[in-house]
Amino acid sequence: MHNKISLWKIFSIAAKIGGVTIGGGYAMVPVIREEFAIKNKFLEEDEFDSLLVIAQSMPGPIAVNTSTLVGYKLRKVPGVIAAVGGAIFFPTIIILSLAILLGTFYDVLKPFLNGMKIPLFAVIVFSVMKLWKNSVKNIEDLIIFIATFSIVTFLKFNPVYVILIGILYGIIRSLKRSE
Amino acid sequence: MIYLKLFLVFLQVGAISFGGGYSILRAIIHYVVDVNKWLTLEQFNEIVAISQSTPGPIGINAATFVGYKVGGIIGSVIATLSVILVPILSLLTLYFFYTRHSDNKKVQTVVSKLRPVVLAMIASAAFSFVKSSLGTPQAVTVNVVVFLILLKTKLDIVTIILISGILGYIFFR
Repeated sequence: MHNKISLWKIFSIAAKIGGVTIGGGYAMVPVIREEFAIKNKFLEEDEFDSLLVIAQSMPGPIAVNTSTLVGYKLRKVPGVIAAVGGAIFFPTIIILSLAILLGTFYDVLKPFLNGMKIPLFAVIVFSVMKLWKNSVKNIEDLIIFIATFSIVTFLKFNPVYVILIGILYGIIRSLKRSE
Repeated sequence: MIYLKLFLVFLQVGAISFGGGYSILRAIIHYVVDVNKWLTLEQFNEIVAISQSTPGPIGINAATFVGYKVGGIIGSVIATLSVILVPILSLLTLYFFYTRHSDNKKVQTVVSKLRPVVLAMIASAAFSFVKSSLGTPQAVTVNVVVFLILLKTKLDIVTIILISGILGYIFFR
């Protein structure tokens, strides 16, 4: 049994994770595992893996979600506040500084920003391509994909409601399967 | 009033941010650009480019930035906290009540059914970038080259965006 881990320790490790996860996403899972489970031994690796499964099945960024669960496991609600505070600490400060800076020097920085915007299409299309195999596995998925894309893109349906309908559909399908 | 609006918008956006990353962008565009007209699509695209190339999850970064533009520092704090509120509460709920393996399996099934929906949200966000990404022949060329680089090399996205920014500074000034 390890000693009670301090809130400061939880905050600082979560801040370290939040500070290095550029772009976010599942590519960062090994970094998060390394910090929480291997280097600092906040929990066992298999415990981390079971928390990871929960973290991935709910909305929210993976770094914040795993931090939330690890924080709770170690120190209940104060642990959650320390862990989440840590996870968003550097990102928030950096974005706020940039936002203020940009407000002041917008005209100077505009050409740079214009350049940065250009590859976004290729970057996102590439990510769609990478996720395709795991997301669209049969004709049913393909129909759902096309239908969702069309109503959100061309008919401007509210994405929030579309996702909620998707969840409802998933629940109905999973009930049918377990009958 | 603007604070309450920011809170409600990012509360909803955060609540449906399944799959992480780019999936959140379409919902932010819907509320911030289409419905409330707080920003133009061009302005939002700048925010995405910056959010992508600084530390932290793109959704939270974008929320912080939009919050600042709409409601100053208080606005940015409200947007940041509200975008993670529902995820945190739902995670703790799941952790409390569904620790049994069979229940977790059910949640997984529902989430896996959501995958094509989430992917469509990302594809739809890409569609929003068509104008600023493919507006000129040079921009189309950049996108083709970037796509090939992503396909063939291990160069990371942040480096690509920053290089593109520098090129923009040299050529579009």
